[in-house]
Amino acid sequence: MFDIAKKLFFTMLLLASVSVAATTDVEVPVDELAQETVYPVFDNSVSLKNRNIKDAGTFDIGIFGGLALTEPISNTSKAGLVFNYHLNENHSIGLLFAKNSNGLSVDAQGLKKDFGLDFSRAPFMEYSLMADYNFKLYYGKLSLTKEAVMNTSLYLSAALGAVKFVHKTYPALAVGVGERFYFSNHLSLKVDLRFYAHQAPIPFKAGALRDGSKPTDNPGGVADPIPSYGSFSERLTYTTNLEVGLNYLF
Amino acid sequence: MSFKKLYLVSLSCMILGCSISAMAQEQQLDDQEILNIENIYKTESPKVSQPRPTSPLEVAPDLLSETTSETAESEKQGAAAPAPKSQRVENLTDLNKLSPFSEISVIQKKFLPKTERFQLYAGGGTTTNSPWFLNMGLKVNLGYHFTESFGVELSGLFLSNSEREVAKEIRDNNLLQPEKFINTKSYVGVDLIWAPIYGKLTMLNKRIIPFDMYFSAGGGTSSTNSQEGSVPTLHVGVGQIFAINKSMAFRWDYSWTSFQATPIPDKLATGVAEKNSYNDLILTAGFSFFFPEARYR
Repeated sequence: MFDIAKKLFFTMLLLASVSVAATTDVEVPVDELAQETVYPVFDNSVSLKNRNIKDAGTFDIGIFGGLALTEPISNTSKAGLVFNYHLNENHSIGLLFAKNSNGLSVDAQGLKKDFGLDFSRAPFMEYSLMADYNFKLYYGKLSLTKEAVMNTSLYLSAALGAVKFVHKTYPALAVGVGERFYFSNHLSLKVDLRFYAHQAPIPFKAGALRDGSKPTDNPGGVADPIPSYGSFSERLTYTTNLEVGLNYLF
Repeated sequence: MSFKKLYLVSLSCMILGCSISAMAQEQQLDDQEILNIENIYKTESPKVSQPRPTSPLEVAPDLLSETTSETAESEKQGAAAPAPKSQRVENLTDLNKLSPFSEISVIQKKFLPKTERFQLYAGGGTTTNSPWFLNMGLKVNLGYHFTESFGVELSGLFLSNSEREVAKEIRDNNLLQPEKFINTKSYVGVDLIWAPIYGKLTMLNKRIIPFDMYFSAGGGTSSTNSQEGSVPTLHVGVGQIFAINKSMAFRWDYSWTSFQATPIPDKLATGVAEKNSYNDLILTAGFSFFFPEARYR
């Protein structure tokens, strides 16, 4: 009986030593090894630990210039002021005021020169005042040829307000996308592309625009009578606006 | 003790002894290497010089304070990068031969490398500055990047032309022929690409998206409804490329083309049509595909 126990003991000792020796050389298939492109996946990932631009609860004020790119008749340029309050790092609200330049667009000047159509008789937009909301979807930083670093923010915008024509005011809606480039923690360049939708007078009124400078189909070059602004009919108008400005955060 | 027992005991002791001695030998080697390193540090403490500022990136304290998890990871990866090829790290003792950092970049490693790779871009878009026509279209570019910053790109833009409401109104009310206003049907050209800006964005603090910002300049020909038909065209553009993975990206492009053309005279025109300058601002967005496979660095 004692001999059997001894045999069992030595057999177990032998097996244990073999298993210990086996663990010193572990082979893992190459395809199971981590590659460079394999990133760890975290349940609660935090991309940004610390921000340079801490805009939550801050104000910013800015000036901008813009172009109504698809405006056919009126002068396309405008300038304005903007005031924003940043509710948090993702949302901001503000006011947007833009004063439109007087005069005619390049196309309308050509139509006057070539066909004697005087679109300065048509109503034109004077200014717009909008409540603006920005959803700051992206925040990051960029390197300028490795010589300087700027912070940037990409956002979606939605604005609701009014556009004031020379004779009437219309409600307006604008949606768009924009990007800020921060020169410092306070000063930023702001670029906005906005699509405006609002009622507006149609400038192409029949029998109202010929100034008599061209004979065309008007015998003797007789000028049309100058119409009243209220006589122009209206429709929903869409305009693409590109705005560039400087903002100061405080 | 019988012969059998003696045999079993000796056999097991031999095997056990061999395995233990092998482990002990490995352990001794590890210990020896650690001791060697300790001796090196005791006898010759490594000269750790402060990294000399070589660019504004290193000295801007606000930039250093802004860190992301990816940045930290990149910097760890970047820390091993400066080892010269002649000083390959094969043993633990070789770690002592690594050079101190000579340069530290804020964003050290590009997620989507472009050097010596082709880029195929296909996107949809529209002309944003045409009051008379709605020009929707397709843009297809094929580029080759010599370096991360410079490349060349062949560009093709094909646009549809449908009249906006204002064109119909000026025809109906003022008897003009808006279809004779200059509009662009297509553009084909070649550009030099310069991408001096790269960075990364976080999407609502949940995900990091690396991106490049580029500028392009070049020329080509535009097909128009002018008297000349095809006209030489200047082109400049700006855009951003947001990496999705190492071979695919979302890209937007805003291009300005400028050309001179003579419109076909309107039936109401009294004078001779003059050659004028015309501009198109074209916004497109789509996807870029990079090939061949990225060279991992």
